[in-house]
Amino acid sequence: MNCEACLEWILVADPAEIRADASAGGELAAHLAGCARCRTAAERVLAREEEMRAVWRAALPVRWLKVLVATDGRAATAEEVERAEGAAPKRGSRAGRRPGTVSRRRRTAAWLVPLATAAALGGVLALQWDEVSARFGGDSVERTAAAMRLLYPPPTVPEAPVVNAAPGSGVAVLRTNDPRITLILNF
Amino acid sequence: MRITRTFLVLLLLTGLGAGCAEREETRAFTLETLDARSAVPLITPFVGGDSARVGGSLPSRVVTVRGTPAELDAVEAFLAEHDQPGATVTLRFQVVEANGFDSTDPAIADVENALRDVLAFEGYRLVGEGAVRASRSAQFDQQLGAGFAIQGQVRAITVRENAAAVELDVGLQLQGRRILMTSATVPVGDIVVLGNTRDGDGPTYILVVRPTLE
Repeated sequence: MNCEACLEWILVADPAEIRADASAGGELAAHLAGCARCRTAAERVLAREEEMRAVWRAALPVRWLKVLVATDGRAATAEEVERAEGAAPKRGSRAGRRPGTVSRRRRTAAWLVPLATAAALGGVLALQWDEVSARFGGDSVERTAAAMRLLYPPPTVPEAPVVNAAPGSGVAVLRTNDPRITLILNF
Repeated sequence: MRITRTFLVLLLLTGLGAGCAEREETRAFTLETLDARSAVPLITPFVGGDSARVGGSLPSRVVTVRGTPAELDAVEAFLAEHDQPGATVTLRFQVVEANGFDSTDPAIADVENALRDVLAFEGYRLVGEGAVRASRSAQFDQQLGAGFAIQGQVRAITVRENAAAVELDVGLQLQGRRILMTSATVPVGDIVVLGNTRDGDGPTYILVVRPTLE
């Protein structure tokens, strides 16, 4: 395997496939062992995908994760849900395929299908971005507005007169039999 | 692999979407009662604390803000709550002498009826009255006759959909000597009767305040 094929494989493979290859001492693992450039690239891709998985898991309901893995428009299979959750691939699944077996036509279709799915989900996911940023320390207009409401509560109209007693003075507030009339006595 | 591609495409689209959502614009806000110097520190947190995105200086009552539509909407909502159009109230004052008066003055009949169960005085007499129109931060000083004078300030007028209140300081003087001073927030439509138990041996005076919204 040369660097070009290795990098293409890293970009299209999911982490389970890369790890499976590594644990099996496969062709990809052999190349990574001897190529610092590709190894660094693989580590970056894996790290980035782990970050993304953490974000999606924290922000999205499980049912959305299930939708995300159904990239070809059909209902997600149990296997796909497991893979989305990071479970090990089963024997005979696509994860066991060796590098270089994906045809150009299938690669093209494989990019178009998730593109369409992502476009359909884009609006929904955008709605969740504030939740993502809130959970991960990001800023949001809503959180700023909430903080400002705490700092500067909206002015309210009291139901009855409120007296601001001066320091060192006493005030008695007495309601009368007329609910409109309040007696305020300083002493 | 589908997952990887989906995540990458989603990341790309989300980034593009976020880029569109983050597109900034400039909006001008005309202040009602706040001045620019007071408003700018309140607005700045909504645009990430970047004071360079908020422009406004005295004596202008216009503040320009640069931010995303969501940020600018939040600024607008905040100002709608804290920078309401100026309202005006009319404050009617009545000075009432509390002592053994037999007759009933129709002008203070409602107060007299209410106080009968609370205070031990046998009767009341209206000895001076007056009214002032005032808006927020306005100070007033009015002679009521018979040596009485009213001084005070309207600190705030809060208007909500179905209610309003005025926060005011009010003092009553007799022959230049202060005999009463109170600070209170009074709902418009309510009546407050202010008294002082430290009057000494002389006549007892109470002050009736009736705020109404213009």
